[in-house]
Amino acid sequence: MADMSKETARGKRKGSRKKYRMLYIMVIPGILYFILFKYVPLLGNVIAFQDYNIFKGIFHSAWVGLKNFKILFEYGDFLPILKNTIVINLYDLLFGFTAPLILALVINDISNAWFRKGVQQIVYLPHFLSWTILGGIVITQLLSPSQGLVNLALKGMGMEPIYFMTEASMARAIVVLAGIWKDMGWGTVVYLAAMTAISPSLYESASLDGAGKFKQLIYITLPGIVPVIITLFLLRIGHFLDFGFERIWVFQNASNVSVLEIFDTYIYKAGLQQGRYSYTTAVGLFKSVVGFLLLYGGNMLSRKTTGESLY
Amino acid sequence: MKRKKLMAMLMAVSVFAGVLTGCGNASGQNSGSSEQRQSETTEQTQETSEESDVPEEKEPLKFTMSISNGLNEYIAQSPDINQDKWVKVFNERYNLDLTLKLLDHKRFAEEMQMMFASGEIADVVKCYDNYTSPSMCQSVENGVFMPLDDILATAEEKYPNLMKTIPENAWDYNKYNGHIYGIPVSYLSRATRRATYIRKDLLDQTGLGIPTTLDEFVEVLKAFRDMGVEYPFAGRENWTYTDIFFGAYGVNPLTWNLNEEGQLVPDMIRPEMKEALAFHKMLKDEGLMDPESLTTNSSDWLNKIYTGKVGLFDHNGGQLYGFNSSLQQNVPEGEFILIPSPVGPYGDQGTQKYSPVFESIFINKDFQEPERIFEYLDRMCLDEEQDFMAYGIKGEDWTEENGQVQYEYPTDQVGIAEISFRKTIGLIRDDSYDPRLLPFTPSGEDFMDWVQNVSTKEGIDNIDPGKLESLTLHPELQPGNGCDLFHTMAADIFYGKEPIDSFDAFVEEYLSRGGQEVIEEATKAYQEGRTFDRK
Repeated sequence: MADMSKETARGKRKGSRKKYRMLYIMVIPGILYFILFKYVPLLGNVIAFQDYNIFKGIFHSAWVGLKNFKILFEYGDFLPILKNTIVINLYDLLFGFTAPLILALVINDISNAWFRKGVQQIVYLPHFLSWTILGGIVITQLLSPSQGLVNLALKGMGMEPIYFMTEASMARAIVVLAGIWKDMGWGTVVYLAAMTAISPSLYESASLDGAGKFKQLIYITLPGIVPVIITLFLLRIGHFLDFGFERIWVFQNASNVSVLEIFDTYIYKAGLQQGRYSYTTAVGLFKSVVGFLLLYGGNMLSRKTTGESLY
Repeated sequence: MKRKKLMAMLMAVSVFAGVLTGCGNASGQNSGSSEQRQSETTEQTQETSEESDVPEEKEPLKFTMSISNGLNEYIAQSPDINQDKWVKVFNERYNLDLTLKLLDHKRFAEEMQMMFASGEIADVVKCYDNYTSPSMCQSVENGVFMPLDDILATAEEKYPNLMKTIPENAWDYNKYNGHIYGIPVSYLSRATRRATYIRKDLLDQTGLGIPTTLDEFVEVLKAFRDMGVEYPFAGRENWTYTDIFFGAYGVNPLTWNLNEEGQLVPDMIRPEMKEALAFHKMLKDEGLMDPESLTTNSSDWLNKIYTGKVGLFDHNGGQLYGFNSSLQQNVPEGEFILIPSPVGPYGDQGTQKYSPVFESIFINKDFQEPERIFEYLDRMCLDEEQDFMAYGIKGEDWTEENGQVQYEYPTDQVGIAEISFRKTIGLIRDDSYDPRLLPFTPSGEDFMDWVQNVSTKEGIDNIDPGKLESLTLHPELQPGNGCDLFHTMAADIFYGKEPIDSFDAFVEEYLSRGGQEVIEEATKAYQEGRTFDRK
């Protein structure tokens, strides 16, 4: 009896293997890609535990255990850097994520199709500028105390100009706002697409029932795109702590470095400029571990509250 | 359902076929090239065996050399630099078989790293500065290159031109543990490179003479301010090219020097630095210095200069013509001249002196004929070959009449870059100035006058401590990364957020955060002769 059931199970498995053979074959390139380009390079992280020397290679460099991590934890500015990294990322998640959503809702309510297209295209534009250029525009054209637009406006209102780039208290806000400016328009694409999928009949019947524009937004548009919002949010959490070097680097200066130094910029200064591969790998690895813990937490929270999760 | 399955199968087949052909091609190419290589090597061995029969005619010196493309426009417009006209001319003229490996200037350190990590290291590697340059990736320390002491022992007789041409301090600058690995092919005969630029037209309007002391400079700057010059003096982020008033106090944010106790310390903690910072703050408060200096990047800074908003600044003296022609596009009557730098209260004057070496070459330890590289370098020191590098082929690109060179300096960027490419592969050059070409360039005479009469009298000696282990753990103590303790303190003082006396607290913090060890290590290196003089 037991033999029989085993036999049929095997038969079934064989059958399904045969049935889906083509699908399995199709999966192979994808799996190979992930193994070769995503998993094998992970092994390179072992150099975090070595005194890596490019001339000796991974296999002949000396092992040093946790020495590199010890150096990091004993470094005087370790806690401020950790704090900056997390705080800036949290701000960016909070404001950088909600801004495109609000913009999409606004754009969606523009009834003039020609005007809507125009607005959409204009708000996309900054996405295609590099951080170097965008940073230059922000620093010299917007925030400069002598010629920046913002300060000209302040002066026009009879206020004292502010030298934003030397005010540490404003540095994080500048970085986050610049990011919103750059990517807000781009971020609306998916929302707008999701909104077009909402059946117009819902709006029609709502307006028959006397719902105004705002009520329609609250009770029809928003609920209609909730799954998209959650998916995008989870994807975004997946990039937590991945703030990117350039974006901070262009805004960092001697006056605001105390609040803008994050792991990415520290890695650049402490390691790459001096060829300390092992140490930077250790710092990067530590950052990844922190990021992973946060991702895990965020995912769990999302599953508990909305039932949706990344995995 | 059936159609779906068919589609799936078709797709699978096509994907699979794609993979197969992809692999097929790749392996085919591989085997092809390895065959080619094999046949090449066999040809080579045949040639060498033939060559041994005929000893008179030397076979061309075959070597590969890695160089930075230097963002050179002539290199950029060449489809294959090894098929280039000048490479062929050099090969023929000097009996070479040179293969260039170009590394991208913008990612030079990374490309050097890749070359070292791959193990395919060129026979001759050229890099900026000496072996301590980060792009060298400690390759000398790891024994990648050949020590040249044996060759240099007899070099005075064998390669007299080379030994005469390259100054001794340039060789010293390449010493590692008492051995010389690098050849300082591109050296600086004058270590003072940066000059004080002033707007002559504006100065004439003020009716004041050329200033010399700090007070006189302040007087001129005030006159500029009152005339409505927007930025009488303009500096740049990280105090880069903002040297002259630091120099007047004998210090610089980037350099090191001995203190009274004989310790090698970074200038930034010396008491003179406090005075220099106070001076800069005064300039800013009086409206004599661009208040946005510390957040102005290089292109914005240049823009201010080109549009005529700046009266005084400092930069490499060799750029005089470039600054003037860019200025005159916006301000036709504007003119910059080079003047002696301000003299400070203790008699100090000038900008930080550079290291005596601009570029060095290193010879791979596996390379068989290092002596012939030296022969080539020795020949390149001759006047005839220096003429060739500067002007090109005699009779074609230039002529000589009654001992006078008849030559026309190119007006286009590619033409100018072409000269620089010849110098790149010709290797030997004085990077301070080129007395051959300068007379033919616009403003060349003025610059040469500055080199010969001003630069020799000014400039601040300093000592480069080399690579310090204790510093690598502390980027916040490192001069020049822009966001270290010094720059933060200097910015706070400059913008009036902290009093000038906060400098003293900074010095204490610097010492307590590991600076003490850094100074000890630097001093030890100095006492053991492992540091590099910049004089």
